[in-house]
Amino acid sequence: MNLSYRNLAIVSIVVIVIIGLIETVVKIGGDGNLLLLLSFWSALIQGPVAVAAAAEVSRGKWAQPMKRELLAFYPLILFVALLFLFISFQMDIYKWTEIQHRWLNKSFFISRNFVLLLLSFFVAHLFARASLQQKKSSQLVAVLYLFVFVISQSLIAVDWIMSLEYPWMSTMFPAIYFMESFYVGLAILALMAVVTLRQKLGNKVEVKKVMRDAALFMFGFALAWAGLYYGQFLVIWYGNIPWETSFFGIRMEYSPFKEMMTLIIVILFIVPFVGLISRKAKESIAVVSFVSILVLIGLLIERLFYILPVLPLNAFWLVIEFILMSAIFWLFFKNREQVLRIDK
Amino acid sequence: MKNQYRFDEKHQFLEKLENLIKDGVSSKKIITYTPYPVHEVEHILKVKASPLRFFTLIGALAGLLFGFLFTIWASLDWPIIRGGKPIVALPAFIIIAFELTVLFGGVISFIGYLLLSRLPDFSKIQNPEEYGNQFVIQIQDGETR
Amino acid sequence: MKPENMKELEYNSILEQDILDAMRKPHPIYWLALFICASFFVLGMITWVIQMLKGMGIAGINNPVGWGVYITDFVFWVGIAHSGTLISAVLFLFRAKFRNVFNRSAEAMTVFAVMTAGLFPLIHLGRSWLFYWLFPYPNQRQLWVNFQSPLVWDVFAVSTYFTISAIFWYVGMVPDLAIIRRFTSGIRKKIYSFFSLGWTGSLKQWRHYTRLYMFLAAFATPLVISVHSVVSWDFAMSIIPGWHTTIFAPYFVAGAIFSGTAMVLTLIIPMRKIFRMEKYITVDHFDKISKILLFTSLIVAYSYVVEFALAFYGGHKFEESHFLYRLLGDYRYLYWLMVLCNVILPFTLFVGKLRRNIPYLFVLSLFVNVGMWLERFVIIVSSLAKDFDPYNWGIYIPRWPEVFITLGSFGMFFTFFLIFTKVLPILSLTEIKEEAAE
Repeated sequence: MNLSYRNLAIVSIVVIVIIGLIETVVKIGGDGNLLLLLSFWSALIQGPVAVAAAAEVSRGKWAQPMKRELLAFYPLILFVALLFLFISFQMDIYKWTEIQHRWLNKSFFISRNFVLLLLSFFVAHLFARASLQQKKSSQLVAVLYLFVFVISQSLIAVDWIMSLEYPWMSTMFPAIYFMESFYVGLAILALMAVVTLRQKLGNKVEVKKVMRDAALFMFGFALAWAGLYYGQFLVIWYGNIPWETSFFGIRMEYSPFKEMMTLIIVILFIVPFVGLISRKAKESIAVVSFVSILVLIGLLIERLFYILPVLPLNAFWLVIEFILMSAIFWLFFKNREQVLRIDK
Repeated sequence: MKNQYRFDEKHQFLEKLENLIKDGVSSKKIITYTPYPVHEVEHILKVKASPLRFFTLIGALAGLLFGFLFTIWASLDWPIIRGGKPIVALPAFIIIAFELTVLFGGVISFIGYLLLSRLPDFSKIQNPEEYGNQFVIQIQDGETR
Repeated sequence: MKPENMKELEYNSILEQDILDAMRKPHPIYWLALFICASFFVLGMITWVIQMLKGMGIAGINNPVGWGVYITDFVFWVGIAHSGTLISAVLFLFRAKFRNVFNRSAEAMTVFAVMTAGLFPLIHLGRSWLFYWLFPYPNQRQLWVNFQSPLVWDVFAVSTYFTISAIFWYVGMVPDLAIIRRFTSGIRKKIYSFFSLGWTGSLKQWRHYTRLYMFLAAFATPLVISVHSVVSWDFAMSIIPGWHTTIFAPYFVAGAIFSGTAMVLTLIIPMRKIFRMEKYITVDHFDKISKILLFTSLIVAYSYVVEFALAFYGGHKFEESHFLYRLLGDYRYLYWLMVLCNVILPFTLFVGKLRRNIPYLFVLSLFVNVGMWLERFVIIVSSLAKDFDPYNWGIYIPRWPEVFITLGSFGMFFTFFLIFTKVLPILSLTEIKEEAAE
């Protein structure tokens, strides 16, 4: 569907209102739907923009042909920010709302995360404009975006997800989180290259190279992710301190979490490692799209792995919300020329 | 009869090589000497991929297996409980197995390299053959590969 | 790098002559530098012997601070080594051509740094002659090493790292040694001939060589991450505040590359001036290397912030008190100097003009070396000085054996590096020729 910029904005607002209504009025609340939705989609939205920023900073030709596709998602950061505000109606999902805490109190929580997401959107907008107009300052703005990306993703990790298990903490947690967003951004880059190739748009040789390079980076990130995940697990396992192992305790004792943990390792590490190791595989549309989709699913399972032991989920409405989010995501991709029009 | 062609420039060298192949000289009789690796030569002479990767794979797998098997066996051979952890503590053994994978893989690849390229070549150590910065094509009588 | 109109053959000849000039009979100042470094090396060795004869009590390590300067030095030198492997292996896989002028010296730096680092666990053993107990061999006492101990993981990691780095360094040098052989005579020629294995540059030798080089680079790359992660786990596997934290692995790896890159600058900037390598190692090369320095400094800064912030997040009194101790306690001057050297000063590298200012980079690299040494010291000592039980709190001040052995380690490293510059080619001739031909 081709939509003008204005119509895209209208559709987005409608979807925000619908999801907001589902979360506050239709459902009784007290479940992890909105949290799961936001933590998954914020990664899929901020990740590709971060990949574009990294490519800009390193003057990498590897992502240039797909730059517009990557940048097309940046307005969705504002979308996530607005949707985030609805969490203020659901704060009883966090145990710490009952304690007096300097950092973890409701108003500070909502305001700092909202402000950071807004800032993230604003800097992404500046970056998109500087990059598309090929201004000299584009490298600097890209660096600025990466700063804001790291800070906002780290804060999302600590505030939204890690605080579910308060007072459990792990210093590696925010690092893994923003690194996963980047990983997912690469998967999306690969998928967009695949879609572009199948629709026979753009320069075939160049886009194929983008796909191959995205696959190569995904291979590297699969290794890096596994290393970091293992490092976090190893320190907690070795120390054997009850207030730390409690996090893994429930997740390794009971199904379905036990199986989820195995699945996460298989999907986010073993499959990309084995699947993308050969040069032929990196150039094969079938292999790359299969692995990339699997990585996205792996991220979803990982978020579930964090949230499900703590909060219930309302499966029916979750599916509806996911369909709505996917539709918006796809609409922005399809109408990227319209989205980027104001930045030309 | 040994024919030797020496060139100062890479493209002249590659041209001559292509012409020799076109003229029907068997690629098995041609040896080239270059100051740095020239990948086009492998295409022109239709050389198969180097079998070094098999040494690497075997070395790496050997390291991985040995790493796990040895640590597990040694832990069971002298079973002490350390820090409340299981006797066979796989998360810890992963590290040792990983390091040995890299160690064995690297060392066996190096040995494989020496075997495949027939180095060290003691006759050439005594009497080194120098070609300088030139690109050389040499046509042998008998088969060289 | 090669001027457009110059013929390849001419460029290659000039390149070879320039490297050979660097390997000529040394200037008196070289002998002086070598003498000074070797003196420190010998001083360190003598001190070690005295320590072995008199016992570990003459050093400053005590109860509760059982790990002090020796372990700081160990982590410092292993960290230095990692940057060499990053430049030579990781940048190779990324096809970053600017690495070609750095990699031979960087790999040499790695090998010498690992050798220096490897001495410190032995020094710290006290009964250094029993070092072989660290390795798992079938013995009459019927026991095995504790494979669950991070110290044993260190044994495997550092041994592997040394072996692979040495092989990678040597393999890269074989074609270059063949070049040097051409220009030498007599006994020197025999030595270079032997170590170049009778290399001729034939197709057979090259095609397997390029595969080997790529596989070694692919093996060395995970070593960059894993070895320093293992070293960081020496601390993270404990339970004391300041040590028991999950972020140590990437934090230490980034710190290692950071300090190693600074050491690369410290070594190569003077080397370039003295051996007149300005036309090969250009300002652009330094610009790119300093970006690595900046990037890793940012990761280190991120780790500082996250560690500190999360200490106050969970309401764990011990964590909070420990981090306040780091900032305001006995070692506060070292802590703040560390923050200055590792975070604030490298931030200036965002300015392009400074990245291209070679004297500035040299001075900055010295500050970073100091800052990173201090970081290891602060982490190790402050956590041990004040852990859970106030009755067990103490202070650590290094004594003369530790100072002299540390100086000795620097002496050892620079001695080996100085010898390297005269005996082996400091630039990777073959790779530069290959790059020039493109």
